[in-house]
Amino acid sequence: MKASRLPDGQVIRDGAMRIRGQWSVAWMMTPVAIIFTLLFILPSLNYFVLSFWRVAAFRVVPDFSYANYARALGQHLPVLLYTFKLALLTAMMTTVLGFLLAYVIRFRAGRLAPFLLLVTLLTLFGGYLMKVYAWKTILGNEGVINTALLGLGLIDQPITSLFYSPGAVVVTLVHFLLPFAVLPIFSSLRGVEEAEIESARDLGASGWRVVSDILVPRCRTGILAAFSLCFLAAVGDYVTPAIVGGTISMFGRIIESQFGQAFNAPLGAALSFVMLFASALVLLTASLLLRLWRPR
Amino acid sequence: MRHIAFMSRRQMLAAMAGGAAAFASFGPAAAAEKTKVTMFGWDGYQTGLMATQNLAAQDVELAFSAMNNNDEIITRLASGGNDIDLITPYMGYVPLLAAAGLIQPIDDALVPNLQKVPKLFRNDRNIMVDGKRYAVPFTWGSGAMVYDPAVIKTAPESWFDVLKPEYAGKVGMSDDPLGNLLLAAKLVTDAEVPTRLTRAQLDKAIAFLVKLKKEHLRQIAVSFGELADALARNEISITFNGGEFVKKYAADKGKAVEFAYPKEGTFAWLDVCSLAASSKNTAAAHKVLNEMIETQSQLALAKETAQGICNVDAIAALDPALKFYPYDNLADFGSKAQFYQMPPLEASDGIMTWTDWQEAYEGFKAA
Amino acid sequence: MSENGLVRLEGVSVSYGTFHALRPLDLAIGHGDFLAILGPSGCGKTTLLRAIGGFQRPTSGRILIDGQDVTALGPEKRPSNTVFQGYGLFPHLNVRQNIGYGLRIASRGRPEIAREVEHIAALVRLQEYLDRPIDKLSGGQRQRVALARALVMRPKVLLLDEPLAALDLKLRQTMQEELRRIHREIGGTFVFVTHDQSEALSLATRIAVMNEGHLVQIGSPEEIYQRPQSRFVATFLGEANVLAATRRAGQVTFAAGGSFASKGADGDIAIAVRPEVIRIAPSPGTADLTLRGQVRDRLYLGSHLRYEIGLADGGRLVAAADATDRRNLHAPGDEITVGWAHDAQVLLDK
Repeated sequence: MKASRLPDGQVIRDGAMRIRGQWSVAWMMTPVAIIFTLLFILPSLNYFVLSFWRVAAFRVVPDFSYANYARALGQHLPVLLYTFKLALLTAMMTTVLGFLLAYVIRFRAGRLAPFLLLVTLLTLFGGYLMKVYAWKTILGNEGVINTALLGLGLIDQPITSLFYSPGAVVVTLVHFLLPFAVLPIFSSLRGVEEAEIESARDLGASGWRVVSDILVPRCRTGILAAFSLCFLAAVGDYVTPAIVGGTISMFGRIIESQFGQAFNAPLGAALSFVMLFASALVLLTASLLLRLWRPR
Repeated sequence: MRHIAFMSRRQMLAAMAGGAAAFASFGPAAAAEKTKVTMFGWDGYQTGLMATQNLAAQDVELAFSAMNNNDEIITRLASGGNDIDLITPYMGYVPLLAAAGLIQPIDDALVPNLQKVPKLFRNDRNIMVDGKRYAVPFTWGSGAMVYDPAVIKTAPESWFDVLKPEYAGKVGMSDDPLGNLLLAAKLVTDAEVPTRLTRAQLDKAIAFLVKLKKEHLRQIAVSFGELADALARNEISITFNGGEFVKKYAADKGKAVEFAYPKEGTFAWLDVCSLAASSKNTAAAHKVLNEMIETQSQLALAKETAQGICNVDAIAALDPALKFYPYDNLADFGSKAQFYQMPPLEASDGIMTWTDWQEAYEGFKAA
Repeated sequence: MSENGLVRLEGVSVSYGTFHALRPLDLAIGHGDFLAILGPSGCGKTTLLRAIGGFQRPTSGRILIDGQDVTALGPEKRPSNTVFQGYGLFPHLNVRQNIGYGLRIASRGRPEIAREVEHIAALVRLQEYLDRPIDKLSGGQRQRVALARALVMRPKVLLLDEPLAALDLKLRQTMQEELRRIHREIGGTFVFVTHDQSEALSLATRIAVMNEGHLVQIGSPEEIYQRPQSRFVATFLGEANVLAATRRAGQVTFAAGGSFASKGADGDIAIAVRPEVIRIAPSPGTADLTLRGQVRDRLYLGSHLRYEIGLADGGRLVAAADATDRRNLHAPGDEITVGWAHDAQVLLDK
């Protein structure tokens, strides 16, 4: 309808440009599409078929059975739910912290902003295991926190639940994932003018209203990207829980052991798809909630 | 056993990254007349072979490919289309591999160093199938209990000590389905062979492990390295299931720990070298088998892995720091720690299969 | 300066470490004023506006709005509203939601918000655009939305930061008229910051001129233009010739010759004369004082001619003359007399 108001020539020119644009986009997407198909779609299809097969005497036998899915959603459901609980907690904490950090870098750090951003990025180079081991020396029985509390006489026995616990898993993952939350949110925040925030405050908005009415809706994509990245990384991680989680078990470890020790690739595939769809469900819900987030 | 024992953090990550095992070729540039022998085994097990020039002198060139778990051996051999000559499975897999036709008999005459291997290891019934040798044993150990002598002054005599109230929250365990379940079955069931369990016995073993986990367990270690780390950091003081080498791992981290063989006994393990049925270089492969238990090679292996070795000459020459295995009284060791067969693969007479075990163990993990 | 102004600043200053963005100043803004804060960039005018709006905490001093001390209050608690230079519109909301945002924060009822938004949209002539997203608006329309969004709050004082700077010349003129009309229609108190002296002159009822953190002069546009108190004000607002002179015993003598009687202390003084008050070759009796000079350059500017005249002391004088008056036509090199009336010149404090 809007186009009809424009002079005709402009409409035609616009159309031509759009078509040319589509072609060049198609060309640019081709390598990605090929890689995506070869490395993701085809193997996924392969595993999808496999998930209906079964194993007999160390050999995978073609079949068409829902048994693997029944096990995934029966026996393994509690671990799946526990894993999702931990991953959700991790992703939410990381997103909130990442948001705060990104906000400070964008609006409060002034000339320190590039430096802070660099520091955020640098922690990525610290390496995954270094972070895990750093937390060992902080949270352990003889770690920094317990030693300090013991030294101050606040406790007479180390707090053992600091380490080898779900809390330790969340803390370690949050630390590891923080840059992945900061960067997408920061890049969204860059599009927000300082004047928008000042306008909102000028019109009477409290700090919380500025966040909920302006910043969150304006950073929807960044927040969703941050949440998704952190959630997916947390839900699929089983090394961190295995090292710092003590006795807890994550879903990824069960999947891994199907392809490793248990030699049951079909069950592993079924478990993977259950996790894939459950994760997709979580992310869809998250994106829907964010979409529904409107200033009242 | 070896799977968990040597699963270093590095390998853990490698496995995570998709487990693309590095395929490395050792020795001098391939001369045309040399025969290439490919070994598929645990990273580290090639160390002994590389410690000497013996293979080169016999015109054998070794190609080594690192594996990530025992089942990968079966997958690789069963899928065919590869040039694997030698594999290094856990001895319990040997009868299964032989029955599946994936490995072929070994000629003792071509492996003279076997004569230097104590009988306890050399003729273990797992590796002799129908009177024929299907593997050469080269390293060993057991599920010994590890404890911190600074906390526990005298060696615990029973596995049930882990349930003592004073050790609540101080017990560690490695994430080893076979070893943990087998040991639990040994302790709480009346099964004659702890790898031949009925449903009821399996459930009982699981119930024991769950109780242990809920009330006493602080850590289920992803590797023995992590178990040693927890001991070194005083996070745990006693282990359920364990290994002699943990003593060395902990010592490397500056922590003195001891191991004990509780009166209920435990399981022993052997890692062995087998000849793939599809091997086309059996003559050269036999030379490699012989070199696996050659004296210098064994000494290098002990140094690299801190595991038990199988060559009496090597044992005699072993660095005292590495001589903490009960080499002097292997008969006594044999009575405390036994080499059990794997749980069956096919169900019969109500005996639980290896798959049943794994499912049950997953239940324990989720509990 | 009225003692009981609507907005009063008492000794307000802003400094960052050793940098003084705003020197201590007093300022009173009366009900219904349309005040322009005028000055070159970096003079502290925006800092002053932000201090009034609550975005800049003063280092010292007090700010009162309608008798209430608001110094410690944030912008959300002040009875002022601001139109920002970049407008700060909310791109995720449409025009109606942008305008209604403040009322929604204030928890006004839906019908009331709808009514107020319609009313203010009519005032700024945006009725047809209420349901448009912000990115589908032109610059002028965005300016109106920003204005409406602030006005709908019925602020005691409306603050505008360079409100027209982002618009092109033609749109700027239209918006100037609009702003004047809106100010007239609602009778509010407006304070705006600008670096454009013509904008200040045409819009404001009062002008506060700032330089280097100081408030240098405040008054009506006529006062500021005709009676500048300093060389800075004289030259910043419009064009002025500043001539050197010396006073001795009540007699002022220009360095370029010519003199007149003026009481005051002896010493060097400066005298400002606007180009348009200078007569070229004045007929006898029409000029109170005269100087001799030589035409250096002549520029035809449509409505007037601009002469650059060299003086005896080597100084330079710019004069504007009516282009339709043929008598004013002098060629470069011509020796001429220029003159002006006593009350057309301003003695500067120096």
